[in-house]
Amino acid sequence: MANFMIGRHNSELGAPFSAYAKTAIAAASGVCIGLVATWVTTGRDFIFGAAQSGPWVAWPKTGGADADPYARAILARQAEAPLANGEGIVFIAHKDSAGAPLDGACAYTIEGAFPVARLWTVSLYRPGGAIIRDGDGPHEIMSTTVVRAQDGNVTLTIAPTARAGNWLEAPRGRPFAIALSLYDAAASPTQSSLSALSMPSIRSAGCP
Amino acid sequence: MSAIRRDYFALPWILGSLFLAGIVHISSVLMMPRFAEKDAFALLSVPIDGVQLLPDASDRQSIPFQDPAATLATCRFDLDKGPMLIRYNAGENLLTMSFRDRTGNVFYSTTDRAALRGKLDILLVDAQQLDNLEANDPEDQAPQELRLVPPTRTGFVLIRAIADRDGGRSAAINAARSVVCRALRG
Repeated sequence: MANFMIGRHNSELGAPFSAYAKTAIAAASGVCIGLVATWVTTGRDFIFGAAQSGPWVAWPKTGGADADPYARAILARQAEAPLANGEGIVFIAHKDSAGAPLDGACAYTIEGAFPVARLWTVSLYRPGGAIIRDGDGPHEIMSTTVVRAQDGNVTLTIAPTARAGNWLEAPRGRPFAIALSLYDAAASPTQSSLSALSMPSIRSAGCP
Repeated sequence: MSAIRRDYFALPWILGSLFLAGIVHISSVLMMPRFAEKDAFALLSVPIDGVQLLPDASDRQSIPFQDPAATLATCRFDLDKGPMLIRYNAGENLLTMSFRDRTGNVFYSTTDRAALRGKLDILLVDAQQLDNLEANDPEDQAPQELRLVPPTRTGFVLIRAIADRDGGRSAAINAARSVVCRALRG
């Protein structure tokens, strides 16, 4: 239809109109592509400055005054207010240590060194960050209430059915994410220091 | 030959279109904090004087990945009403604060551990109010409070009080409520 229109005008009005039409189409598609690119890039996760240690990812720059323009746009559009660098650090895992997405049908074991902090909490969320409300079991555990082994080590179990020890209820058959929040963390909130931090592993303990 | 020439004829238009797309993309990303209506300032801060508790996470979630152990409270500031004093007498409860400008970006953050002699005293001022304060400062003693000049005239302080044990919720709520947040006449 559009081609037909341009062709018709072209034959009636000559070449200048064709140039105008092409300019208009190029301009309109340019604006559209630009806006779509903005919509897509700011509707998802942060883009720059990820600190990754195993399956855990933190975004230290979003909690400080030197956030990049994409991070600022994402914070504004998604109305996020993540933990600031002076408050602590949040690590989020969407995958286990083997790289497989976290699946609520499976059991997972979190163990190893927890970074030094005044207090830490481990909570389960839907992948987008919504708190999980279904099920009767606990979806959060913290350093002050966790049961420790005699040597002080901590082992957490995430499973759809109740387990002995430190158990968090996995959302049956649905994907989920784990957040580890460190309040008053000892590590400095920079990409390099957080990437080098020794973090607990998330191992799959079988899918029934 | 003429077919090839016709193909290349579209190239400048495509390049021009992409160039414009780049400009539109960059400028819209830069402008988004200014034009986002449902941002953290609009959703989290309440236009009243003093500290406002946000709903418990078990009732209504305020932010993505909100820690259910944290009781959230906010306090909106507006430097047109005068310098803003934020004061917290540190107790047992873990309490953190992040100071955010109009676009939600953090310009300062701290925890109760930074309290001096058990007290956290922060004054938000603009450049003019800072000059007035400094003119009236006694010369032989350093100011008792931390003075900050926010990047924007309005913004909010987000307070997180952590319930650090089972049943610690009420202590956390009391800690968040005890934060003083009030405009001084300047």
